[in-house]
Amino acid sequence: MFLIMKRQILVNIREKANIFWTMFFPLILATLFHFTLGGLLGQNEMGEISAAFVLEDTASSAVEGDAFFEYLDHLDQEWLKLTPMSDEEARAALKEDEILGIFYGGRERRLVIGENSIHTSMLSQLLDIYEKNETLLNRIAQEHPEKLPGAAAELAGYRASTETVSFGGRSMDNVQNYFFALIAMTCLYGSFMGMYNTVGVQANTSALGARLAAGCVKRYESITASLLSAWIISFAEVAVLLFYMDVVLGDIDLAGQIGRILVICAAATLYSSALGMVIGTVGSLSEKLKNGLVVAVSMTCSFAADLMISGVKGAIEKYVPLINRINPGALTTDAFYSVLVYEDAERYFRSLGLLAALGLLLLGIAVLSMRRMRYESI
Amino acid sequence: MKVYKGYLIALKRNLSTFVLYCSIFLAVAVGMVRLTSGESNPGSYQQTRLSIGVVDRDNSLWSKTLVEYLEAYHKVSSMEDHMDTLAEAVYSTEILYAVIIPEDFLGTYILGEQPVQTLTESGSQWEYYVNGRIDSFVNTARVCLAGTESPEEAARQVLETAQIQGNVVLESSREDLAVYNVFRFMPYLYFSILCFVMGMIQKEYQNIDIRRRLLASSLTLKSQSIQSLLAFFTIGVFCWVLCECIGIVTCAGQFWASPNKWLIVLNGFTIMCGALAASYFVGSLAKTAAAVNGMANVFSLGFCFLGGVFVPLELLTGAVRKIGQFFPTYWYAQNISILSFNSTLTDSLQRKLIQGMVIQILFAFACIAVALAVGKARRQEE
Repeated sequence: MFLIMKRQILVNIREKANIFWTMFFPLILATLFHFTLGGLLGQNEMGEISAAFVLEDTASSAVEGDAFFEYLDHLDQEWLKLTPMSDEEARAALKEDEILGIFYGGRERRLVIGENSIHTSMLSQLLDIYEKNETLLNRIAQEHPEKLPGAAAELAGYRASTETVSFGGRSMDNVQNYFFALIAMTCLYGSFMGMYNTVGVQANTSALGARLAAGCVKRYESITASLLSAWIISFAEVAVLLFYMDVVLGDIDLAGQIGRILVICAAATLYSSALGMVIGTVGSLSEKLKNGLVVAVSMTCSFAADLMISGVKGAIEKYVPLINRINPGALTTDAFYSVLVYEDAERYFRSLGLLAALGLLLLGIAVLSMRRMRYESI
Repeated sequence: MKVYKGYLIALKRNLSTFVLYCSIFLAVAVGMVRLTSGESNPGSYQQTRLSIGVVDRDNSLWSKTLVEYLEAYHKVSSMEDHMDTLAEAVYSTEILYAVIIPEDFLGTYILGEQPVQTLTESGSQWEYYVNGRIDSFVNTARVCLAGTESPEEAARQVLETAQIQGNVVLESSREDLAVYNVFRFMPYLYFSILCFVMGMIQKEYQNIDIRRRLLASSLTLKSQSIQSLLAFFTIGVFCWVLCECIGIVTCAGQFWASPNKWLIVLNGFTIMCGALAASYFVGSLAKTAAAVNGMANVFSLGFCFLGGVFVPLELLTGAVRKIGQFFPTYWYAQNISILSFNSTLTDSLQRKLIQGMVIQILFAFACIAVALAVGKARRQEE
């Protein structure tokens, strides 16, 4: 059996087109993802926001002493970089995108911005808060003048009142999901190996299969060897990809979790290889047609696991969650999420269990459909 | 014109691939337009409204006031009180921020010193943005409680302050997001269709038997090359008309309103020339159908990823932008960005635009020259 396995492994490795699509293509995609999506990692991080302050309609041109400027200048916000400028300078800077907004002080307070974005909304929020506080104090002074000192004291004690909860995972950045989906796709490409190897041991689909059938090798041995070789190669390819993405590109951080990740990849490649084997046993379709079937299945599963557009998996989870429980792509990305993003043992073991169970089920189907094949003529 | 006709007959046989790619692109373009329809420039200032999830454990006057207050600024939805659910909703961007209103919200959190727990991507823009709003609520509530007679009156005043907004003026140039999002993806369509289809046809012409038969004919080598380039150009123009029409139909209103519409179409023509030349190169170099397939994938994906087609140029890092400048897709993406976001083209923008188009054409000439040189070397070898 090991001899057949060795032969199958050699056949698979020597098939250049096969190795290109199952190993080199994911590596190329990982590199492209690194250079493009890598730039998106951390794009939501808060950076510095530059704004100008212009004082209008006042006798003095010095901004110091203007209540609005003092308020902005003394804000406990490290993200705001406020620079006093003349109106012309500020407008030129806004046009050149050097600043995101211009605060106007003096009689008519306002904010001029160049675009609608979260950054300019944050600037307008500062103006809103100033206007609110002023209105509030005026109102209290009119309606309850005796309470004004107390209210003013509370206002002077303005403080931050929120705290962001930290989870076991490292990053909540959704972009890393694309990297997980790419790994899931590579696991799914194991189905190509499973399909080719199955076609290779069937007498009615390949000449090699005919020779094996005519020989003295037991049927279960050739089937087991074909599955094992497909599984070993696809698992090795995923391991290479993981190494490349973790050590060379640094897009994912597997430190301390490598064991659990490898177990998931082993289960995912088992599932994919078995899936390929089942497709390989479907009737007497040509190898080309079976190949097309594997491409369609693996691409659909990858699409449903968010490889192409983010949000597909979420929508499926909302309306037809059963699909996510049988899709090897979704199960693999789920397992990665539960290990690398948000520590969730229950989800990890559920994904692992489903991958292994469904893989074994498909394997059973493939073996049952192949075990007693007899050929009247080939 | 035997060679010329031969190319057209071969194309007819590959029409299904042509139609397949056009359909895929149409689906992607329509999807992109629908996804970005909410981002259109309204012409006036609009505050960014984020999706926020709220878990109300207090269910009191003040917790309800906070929810109502947040609703004035954001899209608020009530969430299940389960950390796993909240974490997944934040990770999948179903919501960008979650706030957990704890029990005894008034005593311990508004009047006390305890901070309110929130859940979001740590260090993100939305963390700072919504935190600022909640801080404002808590501090305003404190001021109102100190300045009014009853908690009910204070809560009402807090909600009234949510109506107060500063004077914000938006001064911006034109933004044709729909046009940008549709025409931005054109290079992928050109490179995919042309490299797959034309690469495959050109590869057939590299077959030794066909080449020998052609050599045995009365056609000169020069005539063969000119005819093959002419056939490529005819199919390229057909592809260009088809693809640009698909693009125009997808965002017809915005396209016809754009002052730069004809330049957008011209920019499409230059990238089509680049893709056409790349397909000639692929077909001349590849020896098998699998090689054409692999090269076409690597070319189309590589050029589009590194040239700022799939990911906008401003999001690419410095090193990638430098590498991207070697590809025509980079110059196409730069041009389409200029044409979509500027109503008037200043002298410097016009220079940039022409420079971009010239580089795309030069890339096409370089590809054809290399392919012809390779072909000649191969013939001499034989």
